[in-house]
Amino acid sequence: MILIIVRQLIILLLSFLGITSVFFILTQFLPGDPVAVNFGNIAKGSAEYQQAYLALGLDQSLLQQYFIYLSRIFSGDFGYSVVTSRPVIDEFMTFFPATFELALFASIIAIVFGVALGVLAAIKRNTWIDNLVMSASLVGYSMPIFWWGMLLIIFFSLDLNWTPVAGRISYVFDIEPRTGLMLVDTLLAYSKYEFIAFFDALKHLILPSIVLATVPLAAIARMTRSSMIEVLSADYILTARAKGVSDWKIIWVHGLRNAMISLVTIIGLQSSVLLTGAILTETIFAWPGVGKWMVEAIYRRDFPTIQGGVILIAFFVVLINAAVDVTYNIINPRLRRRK
Amino acid sequence: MIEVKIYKDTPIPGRFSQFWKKFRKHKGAVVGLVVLTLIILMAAFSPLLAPFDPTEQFSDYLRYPPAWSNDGITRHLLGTDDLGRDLLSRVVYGSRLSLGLSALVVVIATVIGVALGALAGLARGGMEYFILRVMDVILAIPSLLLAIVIVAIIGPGLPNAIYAVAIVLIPHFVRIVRASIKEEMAKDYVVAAKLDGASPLRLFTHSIFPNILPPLIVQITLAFSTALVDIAALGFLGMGAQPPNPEWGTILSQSRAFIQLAPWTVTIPGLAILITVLSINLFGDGLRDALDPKEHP
Repeated sequence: MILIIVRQLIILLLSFLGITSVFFILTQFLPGDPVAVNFGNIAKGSAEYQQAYLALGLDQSLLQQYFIYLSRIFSGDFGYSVVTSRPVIDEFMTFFPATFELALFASIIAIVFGVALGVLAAIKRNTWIDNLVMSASLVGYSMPIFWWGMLLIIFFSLDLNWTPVAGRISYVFDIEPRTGLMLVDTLLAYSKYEFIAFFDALKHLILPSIVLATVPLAAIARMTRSSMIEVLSADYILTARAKGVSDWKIIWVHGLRNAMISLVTIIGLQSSVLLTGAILTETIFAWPGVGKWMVEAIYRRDFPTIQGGVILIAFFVVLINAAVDVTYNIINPRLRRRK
Repeated sequence: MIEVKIYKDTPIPGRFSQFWKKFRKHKGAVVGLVVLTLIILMAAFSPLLAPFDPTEQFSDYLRYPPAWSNDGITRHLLGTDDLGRDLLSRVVYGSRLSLGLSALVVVIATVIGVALGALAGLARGGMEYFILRVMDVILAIPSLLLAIVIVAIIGPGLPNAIYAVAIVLIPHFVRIVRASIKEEMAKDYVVAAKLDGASPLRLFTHSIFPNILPPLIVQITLAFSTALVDIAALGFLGMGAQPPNPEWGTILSQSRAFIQLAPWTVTIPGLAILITVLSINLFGDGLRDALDPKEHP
């Protein structure tokens, strides 16, 4: 057990070193003055410029620069945004909760509906229900989500006028960000309109979450179906049936619990898919999260922001993958026995 | 000379006809193949099929809806966009860009991915570990984010978008090829070839490669649909093909501003992307079932 965690930690460290090194190498190829690239425009020759110059270790060898760079990154110093002059890490912390809220909501939708539909398709194998679920999931899996988002906006926002088009909450409400999660903040904010604000935030959240959940939902449904079918044909299910265990118990207790083991990996892999989707979803719905922040940083050529953002996002994905791997090892009894 | 047929003559079906027999049973896959072929034909013969030039402007016919709506005219079957360009022509010509670019991306990614995967699979120790860790790093960054970062650093535009998407796809090839090589290496026929004195390169090209083709082909179809969506997404974000190129994602990013005034300029190009990706995935599904020896013994 400890061995697995140590192994994951080493992989984590190596991946992190790799990602930061890639950026260090890229900075060497970026056109322009490295000081300007990292700190924005500072007058050459000024004391500030000199300070920045020394801070980057530009008077030292490339190898020493690399170590200075690494120590900066590992202490959480990603420099300052060229556009807003705020520390990149602070900016990330402001935008991240919005993405987290969206991604969390989308994962709940994807896992709940994905698993349910997958199980349904597996037990109704080769019937019209199975065919319908599988066809729908193939369409969902193939969906270009930026288009899907606009389609839903046309239908639900413009035609039916049910949901708002953009943002996290109406401008009428002035919600103080405490946790950064709008659903929580609206409830915490002391006002007699808190529930109105809460439902307003929920209305803003629902369409982007559906869009973001589409591809993972389809993937999870397909995987659930195939691993469910595999588990249900196992001998121990036959034994359970022979003993007279009810269908309900066979499916949910014996079947799904064992199918979940291989599903954990698939669900974990969706974190990367979710973050990719978040970039597009946030752009379409003007959702003030990390994805939109990154896209804007790229439009503005704000290198410190791009660098910090990508490193932090990648770190997050690697962390989730490591956690999934450890969980998989814990819950899978076959791997446990081998140790 | 006298020919005597001692044994009853039943020809053993070849590799392809065996595959085709299984593939044909998959109705969805056949539909996917047919639709995909039609789209490829559309891309190949777009100058013949498209009624107008994709950039030609009809300034008296701005934002005409498709022909089936009340205000539509049959000259512009799918309507016109905000600059009066014929949408049908743009979508037809766009298939060239979208399919052609994705194909190019897949070719680049396959060649590099197979080479690196073979290297990782055949070499052991440091080299293998290094390649795998680099691939892990690439996989850790969400694919589209990595692509837009690469484009952001080397500059927007089509060639750079192609490199970016290709780089993103490489790790999957490396992993598949490496894993299949490891699997095949342990089998007896490879040992036999080794004992015959085959060099590592010959071992790979003659013994192993033909046997890892099935998973590789499946991976290629997967990569093809990913490439198509990613290129369209880059176009949509303004970092891939630039206007007035009729690339499907680029058309969508242009028409986004007119979502209320001219919704058909949003729905139709997106539908083209969906249908293409769907047909590739349907075809890929059938391919996987037909090529996988484990599922259908």
